[in-house]
Amino acid sequence: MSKGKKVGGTKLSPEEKRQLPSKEQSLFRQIVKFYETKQYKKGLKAAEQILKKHPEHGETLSMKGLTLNCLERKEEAYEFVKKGLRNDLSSHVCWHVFGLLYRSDHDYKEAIKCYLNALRLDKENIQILRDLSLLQIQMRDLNGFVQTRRQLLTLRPAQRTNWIAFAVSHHLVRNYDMCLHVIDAYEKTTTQDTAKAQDQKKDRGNDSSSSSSNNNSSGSGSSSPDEQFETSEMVLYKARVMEESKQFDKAIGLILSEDNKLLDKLGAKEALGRMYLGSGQLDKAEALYRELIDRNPENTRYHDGLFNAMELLGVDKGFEEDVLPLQVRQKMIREYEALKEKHPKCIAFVRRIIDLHSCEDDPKGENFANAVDVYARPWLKKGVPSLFQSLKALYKNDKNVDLIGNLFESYEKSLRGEEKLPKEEDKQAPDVLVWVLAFLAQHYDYVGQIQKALEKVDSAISHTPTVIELYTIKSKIMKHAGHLDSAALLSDHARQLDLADRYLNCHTVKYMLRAGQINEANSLAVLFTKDNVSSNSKDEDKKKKEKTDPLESLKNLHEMQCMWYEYEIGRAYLKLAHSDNGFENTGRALHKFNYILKHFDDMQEDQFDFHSYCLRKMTLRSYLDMLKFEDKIYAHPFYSKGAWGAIRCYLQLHDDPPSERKQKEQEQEELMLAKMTPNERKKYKAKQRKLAKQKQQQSEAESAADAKEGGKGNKDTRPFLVKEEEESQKLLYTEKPLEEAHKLLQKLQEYQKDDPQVDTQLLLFEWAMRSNKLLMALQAVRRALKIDRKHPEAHKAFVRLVLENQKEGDCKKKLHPVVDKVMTNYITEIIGSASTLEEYTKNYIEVVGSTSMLHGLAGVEAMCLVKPRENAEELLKKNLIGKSWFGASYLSGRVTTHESCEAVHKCLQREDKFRVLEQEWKQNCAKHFPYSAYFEGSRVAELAENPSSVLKVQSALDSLAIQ
Amino acid sequence: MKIHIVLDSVRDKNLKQMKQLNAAIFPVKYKDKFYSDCIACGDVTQLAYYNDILVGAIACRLESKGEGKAKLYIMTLGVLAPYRDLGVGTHLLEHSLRVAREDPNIEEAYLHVQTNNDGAIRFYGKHGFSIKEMIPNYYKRIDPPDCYILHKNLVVAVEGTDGAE
Repeated sequence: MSKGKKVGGTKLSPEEKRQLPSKEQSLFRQIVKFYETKQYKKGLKAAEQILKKHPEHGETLSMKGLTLNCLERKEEAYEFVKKGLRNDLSSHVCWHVFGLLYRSDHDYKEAIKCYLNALRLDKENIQILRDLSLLQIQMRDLNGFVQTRRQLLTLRPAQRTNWIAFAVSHHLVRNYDMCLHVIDAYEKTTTQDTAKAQDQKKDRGNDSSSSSSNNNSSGSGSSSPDEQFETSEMVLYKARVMEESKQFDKAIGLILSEDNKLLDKLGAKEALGRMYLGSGQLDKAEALYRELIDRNPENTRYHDGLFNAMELLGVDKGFEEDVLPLQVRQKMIREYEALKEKHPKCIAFVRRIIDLHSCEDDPKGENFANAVDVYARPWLKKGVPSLFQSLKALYKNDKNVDLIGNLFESYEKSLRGEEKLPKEEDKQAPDVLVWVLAFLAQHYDYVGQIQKALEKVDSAISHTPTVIELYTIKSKIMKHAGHLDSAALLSDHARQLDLADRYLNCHTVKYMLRAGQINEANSLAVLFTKDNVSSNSKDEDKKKKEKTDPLESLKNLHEMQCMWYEYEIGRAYLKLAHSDNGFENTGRALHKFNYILKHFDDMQEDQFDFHSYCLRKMTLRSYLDMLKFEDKIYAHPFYSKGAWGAIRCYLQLHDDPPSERKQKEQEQEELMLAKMTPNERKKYKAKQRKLAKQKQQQSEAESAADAKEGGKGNKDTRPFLVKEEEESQKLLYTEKPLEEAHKLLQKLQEYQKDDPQVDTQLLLFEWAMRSNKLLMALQAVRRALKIDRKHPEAHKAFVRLVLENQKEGDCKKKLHPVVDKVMTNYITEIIGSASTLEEYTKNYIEVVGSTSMLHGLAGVEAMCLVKPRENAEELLKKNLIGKSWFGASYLSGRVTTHESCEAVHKCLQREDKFRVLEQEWKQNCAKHFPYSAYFEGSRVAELAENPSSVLKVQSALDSLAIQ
Repeated sequence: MKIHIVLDSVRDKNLKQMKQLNAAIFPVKYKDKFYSDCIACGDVTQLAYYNDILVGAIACRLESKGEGKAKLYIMTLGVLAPYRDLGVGTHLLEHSLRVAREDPNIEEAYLHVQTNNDGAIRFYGKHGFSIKEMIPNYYKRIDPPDCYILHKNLVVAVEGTDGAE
């Protein structure tokens, strides 16, 4: 569309052309009415009636298009709307309709343009202005929003919403004073109005002067609940604006003076607390936070507020125990001990005490151990399965890990001996031991001592085999042990113990997907979907359902935006694409990741209706919270995960285009045919023809059956899985995969500004390398290294890039001298004191290489790139294979995962000359991971023969019970 | 020491738990018929939970005596080893007997017990059961193969069970 062309002077003026005879005029009005009442078919008829006589009438053409759009005839809709506009460029109706059409397709940018054109022709059209303002706030065109709201207020000052929206618009552009000013102005008009109204009512006429304005608004007896809410919200909103503009004292004054009108007492208190802190009235802040803690001692934000007020924490500083000086920590502990007296049941205090003790220098760590002891006992007695989860954050250094491990070992010993917890008189119920063992199993699993973890969990299972959590714990351990099938089997066992538990069902789906059992996972995933759960409605429905494939309900999962499932199944397909070489799986993976991306677009879209709703309902604080949330929505971890997955798929499609693959397959077929005798060839071809025919017949039969069943309209009635597969295959032939990847990368970068992610930068690097954009690649690496100076992949990427830059290739020649200089600067900056790339890499191996197996691997790999002829075996031996990664300490155990061992092995496999090392490594790993399917550990054969043997534990029970 | 027990009935959703429990307690693997009987006979079969953990179960079946009368047959009653002597078995048995007594047509309760299972015989004795007869070679795979039939009359009000253990 061209930018609003002005229609110059014509022979027949546009107004004259637009004018319809009176009969048609009334028909036209009817079209509009039919559109508004959603009687589209009638509207269409009326439009066609006009067009019979006036085929070129622009506004009618436009309205016909708009009506067609609602009848799901998109293409025709655009055709008619555009034609209508062409015929009558100076009609605001045509522009407005065009805008509506774009809006219905969520193309808000274009819609805004159309609305602006419409407004140029009809400056005071309230409807258009209102629509425009919604689009502007949706697109965060804040300045435009302010202007449109100003116009609306000028045109309709009697409407409250217009005042409020105008104020909010100024708030959004941070013009706080103006915002407050507008609200005040509005409030003055209303108080005058109500005062007048009250004056008229009051016949007593005695005290109608100054004091009355104070009474009438607070007279809560007379106002409705809605009004009360609005008054309260208005005050708190004003206070928030003042807070944001740092007018703390003013805000405090406001909240205190209007206290009796406030409904959200807690919100007001919290705001007041923040503002006392802001204005430096620490005594009052402290008293207030103590009050809040009394209300809800578990809310740690109140603890932080209290410490802020006591000047133990800096202003706006959160609680980070590691950076606090010893004295401060001691003071906090004393404070918590005192608070505990008052609230003996509070968990958060005890948990925070552990945190504060966790960074003490004391080598014995008595305080720390005691704190954990105090914390853990009640949980064990109650049998809370999440105890480990809540202590996991403390596993920061070997000392803490040791202390926690010893503590729980001492519990086990004491319970096994005399059924008591240490230092206690009472005998414990038998299940306490189970929870201690469950904890220890998770503990050893977490620090990489898989064998010990299995012993503990098996011992717990043989003690009480009916505790469902034990099987999920064991399934996680088996996952870390490298046997994904067993992990899935154990999880499924837990699920079967309680078929009504959705969590267990989800857990099993996830574990099956990890094990690559996609079909099995899907058949479980549908069990808790809407179609299956609420299927006891009508018999007819039931019959229908019996006929359809239960997997049809998988679409429920996408409708419900079930992103963990989409991510896991996408990952499973991607893994298959790597291992089986089945390139179709890349398409399937991409299709699933795209669902996640789509959900975020939908969530972004979902705010649209709230712009008008919230302003009308006066839920201003939550409205602003929502805007803030939506502004950051693409920074959500799940969006990143989905986008990373999709980008990986696109890169793969670029590196290994399916079209070429198909071609290769064809060539191979031709080769094969060429080798055959004529007779064989004939047979082969006949067979292929037969297969193709069968396939065609099948699909025809299917579509015929579908047509019979769902003959309604042109809705797609094909089975969901068929559609999924078609769409997945289409994605394989994405035309420009790199461009698609780039779009996602740009979005990620934009939204991750505050919290940059290494993975995004590394993928950006991969993209840039493939697009011959060396400077961008270097910038990406530089950012990645800034996030994590030691990051193994970033390091490798850097070396790759420098080598690429040194190549005297085509891309080098193309580099602009300025770019070249910038690059050289960056490279020297990263290399630092090292004189050459080789030295830099050497340093990396020496200094960083022993951090973890993956760091070591990256160092060696980089060195192999820098010096391809160097004796790589020796390097590997010295820095990777020969090192004792296994069980050196707890924390190294944590990073020596099966996954990283696998990565090292895959790298060794790539080159023939590493054969010996590869074998050595494999044996090493098999010893450490006896259950590893990948390394073919010693226990794998047994599991392969009898998969369910993983469920059995040696039963120490006496076999006969009563009877 | 006694522990707080919560009872629940058997459904297809939690049936596997009962199977898991029985597998841990009894040397016999019960057939599907056993479990479908349990579900069919309603409240006389119960699961005992302590702290949300299944620790014991009683499985009963109602058998027709003709003329609309029935008797309660206790198929199994078992408690996980670590949770024994805590009153779980008594709790379960008393519940099933109470449910049976509420139905005037259920006149008696009985069960089979291996002749050497002194503990069980003592336990049921405390709850008013007595040995009715001995059936030789009742069991096929365990030794001794003989069993007693323990019996209790439910109609005559013999409130002799005061739950003492």
